[in-house]
Amino acid sequence: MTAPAPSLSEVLARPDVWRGGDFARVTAEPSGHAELDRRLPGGGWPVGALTELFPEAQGIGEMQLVLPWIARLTQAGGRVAMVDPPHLPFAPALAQAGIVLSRLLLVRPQSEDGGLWATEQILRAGSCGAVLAWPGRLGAVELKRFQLAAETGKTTALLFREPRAAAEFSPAALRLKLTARPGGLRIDIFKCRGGTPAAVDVLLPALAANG
Amino acid sequence: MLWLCLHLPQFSLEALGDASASQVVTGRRGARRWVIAGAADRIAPGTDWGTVQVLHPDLRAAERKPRAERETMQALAAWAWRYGSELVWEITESELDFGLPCALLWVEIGASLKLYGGLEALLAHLDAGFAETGHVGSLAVAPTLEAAALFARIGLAEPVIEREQLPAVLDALPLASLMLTPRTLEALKAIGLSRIGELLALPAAALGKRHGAQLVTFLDRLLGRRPDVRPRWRPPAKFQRRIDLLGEVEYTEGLLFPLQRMTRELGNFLKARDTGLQVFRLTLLHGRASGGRLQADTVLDLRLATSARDPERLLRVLREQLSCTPLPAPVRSLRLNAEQFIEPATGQRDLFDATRGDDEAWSQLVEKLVARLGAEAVTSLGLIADHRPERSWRTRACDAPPAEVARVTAPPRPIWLIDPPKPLSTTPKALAAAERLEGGWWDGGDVLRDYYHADLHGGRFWVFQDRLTSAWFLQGIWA
Repeated sequence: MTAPAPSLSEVLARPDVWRGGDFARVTAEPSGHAELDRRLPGGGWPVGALTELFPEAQGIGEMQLVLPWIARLTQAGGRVAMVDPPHLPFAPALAQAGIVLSRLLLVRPQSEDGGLWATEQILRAGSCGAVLAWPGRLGAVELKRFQLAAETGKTTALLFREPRAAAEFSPAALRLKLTARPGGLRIDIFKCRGGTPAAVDVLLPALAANG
Repeated sequence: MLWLCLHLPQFSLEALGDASASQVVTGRRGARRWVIAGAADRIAPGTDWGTVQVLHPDLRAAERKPRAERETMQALAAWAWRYGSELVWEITESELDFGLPCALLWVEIGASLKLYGGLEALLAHLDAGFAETGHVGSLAVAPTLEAAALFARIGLAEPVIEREQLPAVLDALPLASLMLTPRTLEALKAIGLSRIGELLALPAAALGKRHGAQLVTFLDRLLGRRPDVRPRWRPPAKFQRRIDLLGEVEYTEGLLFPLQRMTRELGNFLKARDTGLQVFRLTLLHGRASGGRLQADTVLDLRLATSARDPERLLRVLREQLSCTPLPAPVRSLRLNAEQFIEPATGQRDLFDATRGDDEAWSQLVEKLVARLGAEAVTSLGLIADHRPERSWRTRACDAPPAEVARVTAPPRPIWLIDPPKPLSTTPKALAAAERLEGGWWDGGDVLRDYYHADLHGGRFWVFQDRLTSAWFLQGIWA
């Protein structure tokens, strides 16, 4: 005697059946660039996870890419930390971008280790909505620690890294290569948890206006 | 009045700050030396030091430290302040019993009974708190100071509430338990008295004539027939606590235990004063190094993001700062000072406001970062209404109140500022139309500059030409 054959919907409802088109739901914050948000799972920067940005050079518009979101976050009462930026963030420019300066924490440690420690502490504490960090060399261990800290604190972490580090393994949820394009950026989404790799062009009006 | 008295028999040992089992405190008169506290399970107080050395060669002796005893008593008083607003303490030496010191602390609890929900609840609360202070002692409750002290000394735990009950309770107690001068005690024994009840039965006038008015006054105070006026303790205006370590400590980890005790006492002090603090100072005293050279003290100034009184939080900041402070020499003593107090902002809480806890977590995070990285490394930014780029911004402390909103009316500015501007050796290829900035003679920072956008090395830069020298400078990066 054989059991009746299960229907298709019964098979699909089994927890051990996974379909190629399904992705885990990702919580994300809209970046403020519609073209980019359409490509990203959850529609923006993932919350409680690492995002790595690899600009091909400094000053190609990488900050313009994140400023709209930072501005929205601080206006909503959230806090943003910048850890070890390569230069001094210019307060009038940040204010022009709409950032509430009193909600900004600037950490400029003397040593690289201090920066890594501070990044992890801020990610773990969870009282900052976003952390922008410019770490120097990062090993897999540090990245893993950052990832765990960001998960604990439900913080969005954006790490700006050297382009050559893109080849290394990383537990980050999202990894983007940034290349300059006239009036904007070409964004190569080469790793994307819960989505598919893609490339997208983003126009940055502020950058275009300056040229 | 209802007085609770704490009797602390090992107090002179506890004040040393190290209650290890092999430490004893000795008293000295002339060539005689005897044990007054410590190793209570092995030797009785009053034993001759020579005898003790023969019986227990492992014991180490130390002299009493009156200053440490006073400071420890201050700390204990600050803790006990929460049980009543009238507080008296005494450290006396009895004329009997080899001059054993007698440390007593009284709190008037009659006014606090309702607050704590009755005597039993108060005593349970106090017992738990007392165990945390690290002292050992016995307590008693009685309507007068002298009676409470007597009951605490002899270990009569049953509280006596009413003054009228006192004669009955005192009646059967031995006369020797009273703190009388040896001469008076001898004289009273000589006339055949052995119980306190027999002494109380004698007519006061005759007793005064024979043994001095002091005895009569003492008995009146014991029974509450005459007011017992002693100076009440008040919380001091400043906190200062010094702990002398028994040995030299070379690693910061070894300082944590005394620091924990100090911060707990500081927390009690702040609670007694109903205030909080934002700055305090820890001094590590190194004393004379082995070479005989005097090593300067290490001073750590600590700062909290918001006013606090929680000892855990104070200790956390201390730990963080100590962990990145190298010790130049072994530490012999610690001193903790606090002089400026700010009431913590513990306002009304909104039941539905979730951001409050967030603010606390935030200030604790900032504190942690500042303690490890220094205040200049952890800042926020602010605007200044000035047209010169290098003067149009400033750093602000993270705990500063939100700044006045200064509007930026200037044309678009680059995200990164190069400060000070970097001289360029070649003339850059300018892109956009010039922006001219002039002026500043009023504060000695006069400028005459033409600003341009320029592409260099693949990035977009903000450069200017000084119109006096025609030199080019790089001041910003668009990113």
